[in-house]
Amino acid sequence: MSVSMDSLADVIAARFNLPRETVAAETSFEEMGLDSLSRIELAMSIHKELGIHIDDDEFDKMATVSDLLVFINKIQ
Amino acid sequence: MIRGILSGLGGWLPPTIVTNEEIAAGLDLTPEWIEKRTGIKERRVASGGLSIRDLAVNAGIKALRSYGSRDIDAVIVATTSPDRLCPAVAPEVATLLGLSETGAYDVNSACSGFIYGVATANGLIASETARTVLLICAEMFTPLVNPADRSTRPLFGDGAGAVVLRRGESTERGAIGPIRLGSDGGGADLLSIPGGACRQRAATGLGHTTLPVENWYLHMDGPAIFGHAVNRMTQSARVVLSQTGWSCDDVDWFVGHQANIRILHGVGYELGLSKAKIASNIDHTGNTLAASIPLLLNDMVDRGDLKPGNRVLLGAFGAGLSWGATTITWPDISVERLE
Repeated sequence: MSVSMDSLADVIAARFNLPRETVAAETSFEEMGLDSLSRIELAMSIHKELGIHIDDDEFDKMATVSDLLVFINKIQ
Repeated sequence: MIRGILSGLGGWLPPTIVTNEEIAAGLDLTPEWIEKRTGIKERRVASGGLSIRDLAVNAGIKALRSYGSRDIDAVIVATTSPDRLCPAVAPEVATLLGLSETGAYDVNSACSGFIYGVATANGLIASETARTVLLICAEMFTPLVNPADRSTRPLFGDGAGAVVLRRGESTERGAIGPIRLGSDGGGADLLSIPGGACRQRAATGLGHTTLPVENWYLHMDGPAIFGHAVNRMTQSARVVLSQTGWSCDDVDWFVGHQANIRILHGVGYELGLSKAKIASNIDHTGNTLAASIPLLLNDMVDRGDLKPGNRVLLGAFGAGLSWGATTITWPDISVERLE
């Protein structure tokens, strides 16, 4: 089942205590203030909340929330 | 069932403070980045000729005062940074504490040292080999960290914490609960100091002129360690909580090894523990390896945060790779301030 942008943005906002409205499709991880450890934290949240496993090195290829969503729905 | 009962607690921090500002100055970092990345603002460094033996004795004295007796059957020193490769430091420490002739040995399980040390001490008691055990976790790791390595230099501090366990019943407050230990040697190279011991000596002799200086310092794959730490601490915590019969809601405090506050928040997130239950003093100690848990327990009792009857989940992860967890219902003991 595909993951929606809303679901993914909810997970991101909750995990990092960000205002929900600041997490949009083209928001970059850098703009959200996420560092390399944050990417690991985000991978764990996606696994826990959405049941999807993402390898740490896959995050290196992604820069925005939209990139992440495309990747998640491609591996589903 | 016979168990070790935590009956004394002490700790000692060396007086020299090193701030993030001082660390950042030589490493192309900012103090703010260090704090955001790790939760650390400052740490203590043993200087002026201090050695592990000194840190261990100072913490041991305080734990014995907390216990109220010097009637000790065994001394264990958990350390990753011994004064020498040989001999173990525990016999020297025992003698300086007036405990000559007492069984004494070192345990090395890196940052999991307190949990492994408690498991060992509890085992001595449960097997009726000892009635009382003094476990001292002493670390002077800062000389083993490359001052030019921005990924490791900010993380570590020196210090020692100690507990006394005495023989008692599992139903007593202070009894060590179920213990879960684990390891994965496949990750040995993720957190290691390659040079200075037997494997390197056999291969390259003294190595001073043939090996790069980096061999003598800690190597760490930070992101890999971060992921492993959260996963393994979460897994082992779930096991001991189940064996203890506690839900996460029953836990008053999660006292985890203080490597990085974000690891502890990650474990809390996975377990469903609120941040308010996650204890920490890493802001002023840094990562003191095996000493971190007893130092934190001492701080918490001193501040009045940790009270008799509190249900405490303890967990650690470290080089090896190694990990462990246990539970304890906190006893009524007094402590002295760390400094």
